[in-house]
Amino acid sequence: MSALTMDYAAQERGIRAIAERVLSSGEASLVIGFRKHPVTGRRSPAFVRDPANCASLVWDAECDFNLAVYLRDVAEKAAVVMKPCDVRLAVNLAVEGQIARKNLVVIGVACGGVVHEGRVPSACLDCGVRFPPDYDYLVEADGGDWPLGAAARAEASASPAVGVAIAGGDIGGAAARAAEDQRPADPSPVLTAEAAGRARPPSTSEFLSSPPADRRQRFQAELDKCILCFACRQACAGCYCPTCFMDRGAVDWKTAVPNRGDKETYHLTRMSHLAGRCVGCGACEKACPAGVDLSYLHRGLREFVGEAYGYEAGLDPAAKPAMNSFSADDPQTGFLGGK
Amino acid sequence: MRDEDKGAAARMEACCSGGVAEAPGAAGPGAAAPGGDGPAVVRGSAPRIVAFLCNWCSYAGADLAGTSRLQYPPHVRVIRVPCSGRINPQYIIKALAEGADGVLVSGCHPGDCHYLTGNLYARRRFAVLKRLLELAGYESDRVQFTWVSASEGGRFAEVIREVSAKVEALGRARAAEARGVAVEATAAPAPASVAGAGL
Repeated sequence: MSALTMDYAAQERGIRAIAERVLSSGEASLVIGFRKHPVTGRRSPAFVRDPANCASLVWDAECDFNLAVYLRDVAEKAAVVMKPCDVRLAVNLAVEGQIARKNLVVIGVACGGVVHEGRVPSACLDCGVRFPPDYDYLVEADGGDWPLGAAARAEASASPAVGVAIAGGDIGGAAARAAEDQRPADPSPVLTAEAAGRARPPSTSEFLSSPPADRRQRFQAELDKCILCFACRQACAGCYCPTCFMDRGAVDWKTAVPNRGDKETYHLTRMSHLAGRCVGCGACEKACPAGVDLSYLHRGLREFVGEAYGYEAGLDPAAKPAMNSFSADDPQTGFLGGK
Repeated sequence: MRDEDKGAAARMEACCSGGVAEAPGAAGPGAAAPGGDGPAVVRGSAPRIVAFLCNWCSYAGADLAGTSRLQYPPHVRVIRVPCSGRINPQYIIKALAEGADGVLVSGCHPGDCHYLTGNLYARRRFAVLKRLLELAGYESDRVQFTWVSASEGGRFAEVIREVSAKVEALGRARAAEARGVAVEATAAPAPASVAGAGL
């Protein structure tokens, strides 16, 4: 795990300083961040109201939980510590009218990927976004707290990233700087497969060129692990239906003894709901107690929505959701008689 | 249309008896609970295709095919919906997970929607769903989307012929596997080309 660190101590100092400033200035009445759980020692969500308690906030690669899931439930103006993927979900919630951006103070943190239970999630291997697309405060990798508003984002995007890269386990050192990410424009993940000790998953086009039976097998292998506990749904900031279809009794979407068909119905439906909304934060994968990893399907849909409709979720606060809009000349590839 | 439906259903029963899978939950010998992992079997090779047709165009197109006495394979079970935009992708997923061998969705041609834009939203939804199902290992031909207008009875029959042939070519094993049931060698000769008899 030490191979996957950056200058977290400096970032932590930055987060604490910003949290203290935000609370004492009254800009927000609540800061949501991470603390070290007193019993398990794991990083767990922290809700801080007193500026004196900001020192309890921690930050490191294990702060993997997606705090965007709380946004819809917070009634007051809250400042939330967010990685780029969390920020994208917040932007997405605002785009979908679920939260008011003005009630949220984003403490954006430059991210080089997270470690969940000693393992880098597949989602992080796919991700090339090192900086949050929107923020009120930016915690650079060197811990500097820049009180930059959205207006100064362009300037921030031109600024060099400092030590955010993780390559070969170097902590913000020369090797990391050499491999520095140049903002989301460069999609190549800095968190290399070698650094993570895991093979990078095949590209979607490669995957789609494999026989359907192989794809089926892959999907079925994941389904077989699933115990239908719905942890993925609970952890997902995009799954916010007040009552999930799987919890409704009027239609038997699932049977009393869950079987393959139920699991398939659940996962595929959830995915179809998340098309054009999933940002690939990996919360579902991390939350799963059974090790189900369907991030390749989410990624495939993200890529498809990007190719077909030119939409990437959570990057543009003024965007119209892809699945809530249409164009007269949308592609009909694969339709009978379509072009 | 309803009379015609009944006729079609009767023909289908006559043609396919013994050649079609037990309906999910049917109390046939060895049948398990609906969609259960029990020892239910899928018999025969006649595909079961669920077709979602919009009320205003495609269903009327099917009606025209019927009143024009056009013949097409009897493998399609039609579900009428108000608009292709009303079709929740979940319906399609559920149909497949429950063992449908194929799903056909047809609505008004883009621009002709009775509700102006329903099929345009649906088009994106279906395109995404098709990609998702491909990623999940469904053969591309199992799920078909198309547009059939109320005046295209001939096209409707043609679409059904095409979809039936494609799904038939893929066979039934995938759908049976989805339900976790076994495929049994067909007991009675499968009415593979029922439609041909009438043509």
